Amino acid sequence: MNEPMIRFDAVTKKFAESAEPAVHELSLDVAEGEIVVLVGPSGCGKTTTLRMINRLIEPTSGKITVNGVDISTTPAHVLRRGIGYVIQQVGLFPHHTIHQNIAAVPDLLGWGRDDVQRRVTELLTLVGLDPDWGTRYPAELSGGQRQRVGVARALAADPAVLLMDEPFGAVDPIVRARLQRELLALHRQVRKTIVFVTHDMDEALLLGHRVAVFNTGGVLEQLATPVELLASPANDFVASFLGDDRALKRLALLGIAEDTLARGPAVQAGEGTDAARKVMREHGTEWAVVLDGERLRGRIDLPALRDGHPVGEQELRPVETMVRRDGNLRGALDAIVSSPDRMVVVLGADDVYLGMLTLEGLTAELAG
Amino acid sequence: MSGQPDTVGEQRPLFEWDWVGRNMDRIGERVVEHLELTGVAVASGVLIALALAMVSLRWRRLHAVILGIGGVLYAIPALAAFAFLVPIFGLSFPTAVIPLISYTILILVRNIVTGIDQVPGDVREAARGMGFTRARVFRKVELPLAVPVIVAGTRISAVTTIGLVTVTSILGVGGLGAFILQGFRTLPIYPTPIVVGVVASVLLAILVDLALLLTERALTPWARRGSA
Amino acid sequence: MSIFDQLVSWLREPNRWSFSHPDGLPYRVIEHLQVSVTGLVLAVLIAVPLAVVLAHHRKGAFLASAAVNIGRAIPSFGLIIIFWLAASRANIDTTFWPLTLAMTALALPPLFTNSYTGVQIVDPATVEASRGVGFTEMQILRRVEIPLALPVILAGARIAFVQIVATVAIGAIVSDGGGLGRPIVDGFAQGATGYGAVLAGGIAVAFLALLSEALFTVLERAAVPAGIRRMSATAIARR
Repeated sequence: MNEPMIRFDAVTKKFAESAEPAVHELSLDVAEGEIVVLVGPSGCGKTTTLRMINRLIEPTSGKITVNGVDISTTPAHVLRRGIGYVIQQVGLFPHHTIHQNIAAVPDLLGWGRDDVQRRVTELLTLVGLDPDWGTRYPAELSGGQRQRVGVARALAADPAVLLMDEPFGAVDPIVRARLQRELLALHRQVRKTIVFVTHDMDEALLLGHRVAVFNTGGVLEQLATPVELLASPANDFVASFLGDDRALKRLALLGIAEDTLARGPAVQAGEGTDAARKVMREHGTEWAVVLDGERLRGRIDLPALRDGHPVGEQELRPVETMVRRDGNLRGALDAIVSSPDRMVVVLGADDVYLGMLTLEGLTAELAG
Repeated sequence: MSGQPDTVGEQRPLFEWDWVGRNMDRIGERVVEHLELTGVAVASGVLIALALAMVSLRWRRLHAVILGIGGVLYAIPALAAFAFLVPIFGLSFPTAVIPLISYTILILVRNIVTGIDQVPGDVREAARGMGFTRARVFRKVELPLAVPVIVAGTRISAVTTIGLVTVTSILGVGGLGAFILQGFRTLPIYPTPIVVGVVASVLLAILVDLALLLTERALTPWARRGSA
Repeated sequence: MSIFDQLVSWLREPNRWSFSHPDGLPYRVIEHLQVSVTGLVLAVLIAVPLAVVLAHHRKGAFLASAAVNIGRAIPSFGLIIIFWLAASRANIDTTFWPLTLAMTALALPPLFTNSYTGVQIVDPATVEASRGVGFTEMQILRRVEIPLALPVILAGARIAFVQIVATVAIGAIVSDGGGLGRPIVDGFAQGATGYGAVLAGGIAVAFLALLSEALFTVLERAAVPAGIRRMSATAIARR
């Protein structure tokens, strides 16, 4: 494995005003291009941990390196110019335009005008804002738009590391969900190393390649991938913080495996009614899905079959419960439970019929 | 009164305690005069401001107008105000007190309106819901809850007025400023009355400020418990 | 002779419109402004840098609140007298500097308090963000805190300057200068025959004070950063 992008080596932070340390003997590596989410209740030291990376807080003991360099050897403001930083309140400069806000760090670094202009346009597009909005002021933007500008500002000088402190905490749930999806898409494009702080476990599980669960007193309870975390929480604290619906959350993280799918009652369009009846009998159903080659066309029920008319000439009913191959098991479970036939059709790209998933199949998949 | 350095005769010492001893009675008189002017000005100011604040609260549009006029009055220099009033009232108590009143209006109206505006909406709502009339809400709920802000404004006005009253002495209406005038109109300059006038004025301001603060605490017993 | 007639005849006296003769009204306006502007500039140079640096480090908050209270308690007339007394004892000319320095002292409290408050009320998230992206403390002060605090600082300058313009006139009681206070005080000394001078000085100094207030108000508005102006415009529209 390469040198980690960020390394905490036995880092402790004590604040003068409290006896308990805010962060206790923390050792943690973050790999290049990885998203690590720090999660925990308030007062667990997650924000302190984050703010030590860009030296907004200095550790009491221990060592932090970024890209192999001990950060205490770099002047704080120089270090910070190489690390993007996004906070919940965004903190855009209200007296500067969007352009000036995003250009803050490039200006500090003395970039030329044209380079800055090009970069601002590029970033506005990247975060999904109209590049013409550069002349607007923060007050003219919605909360979600301001947060996008905040992200753009953090990315301006192309830092290797992005620190995000509850960036989506102050926007409404619908916008938050969109910003989360956009962040993941953005990460696929720019591959930054991201350290993300939240108190929302669902957000942590959604965004993190690995999730670090902190307890009060700055103790790191567990550091694991979301699936590992849900499958085997290290202790009661982690388990309770994950919530009672841990199993369901885990389903949400698991994909659908093709080999657990059943072929199910399926007939080709153009086949005779006898063949269709036979398929239904074999599967103990009174319906079957109708395929056109590999593609799904719909479903037909037993009473709708007319002798002498091949399957497909009758009017087909649409299949109501289906999921995509790239969906997750939680969505599949939801579909199975809400379907009267207790199954869900799984489709691949271009509506190719891959099979059906039943409760039995799903259980088998979890066991496997 | 000379642009040249004061070279007439010997210089008197900066402070002579025995002057204070000899003039205790006069100091007392001057303090009373000072307090009279201040008291009349601030009390009238509060009454006028209260009326103007009620008008402002009832007709919001007038609030800006009232503050605007208050601002203009506040900006007019005391000496100019005296200049306008002397031809009418001569060198008299009204000439001194009218400008003093006018300076309190801006601060007091602003503070009363702000104080009442910041009364939580739910408290007002609850009072209305219990059947309080509008006037009763004002007297029993809004005004008491606004007391700290109103007293804050009164303290500022009182302290400012005490300072200004030293100037009204040029109108011959007394007050501690009379000592200051006396001191430098004497040749050679007599610093002791000047120092007494200035120091007594500062002390008076501090004492009045303190007295108003204690009044506020007595008027708002709810503010001290719980939060402390 | 009516008061108005007295005023007109006073204005018609010789040298009344001279810029160079001490009897001239323009001469007194200039004198008034020289004292006022010098006093303010000195106070700005002392109070503003001190206040913004202290506010940036969140130190000396008690000074900010104590300053105005002390400033109010000390009578401006007393302040003028003390500086005049000190100058006369030190054998310094008493016309210009004692009055000017008294005006500086008078202007310090509102300037200090407003500059301190103006920096203090800048949104902490904005400061945090600028530190986070790598602004040095000096850059935070110069590029973020001071521009955002400027309207409040200028409001302090307005309060201070209007107060100075009003108070310079009182200086005429003790010194040969005192700008537009001169005709007022000299007029008072003449009794009923001096009303023309009193009124002319009064009108002129009131006009000067209101003009200063208006000019500073315009300046203050212009100093509000565009982004904030739009914010308050939308905030008002929302109400």
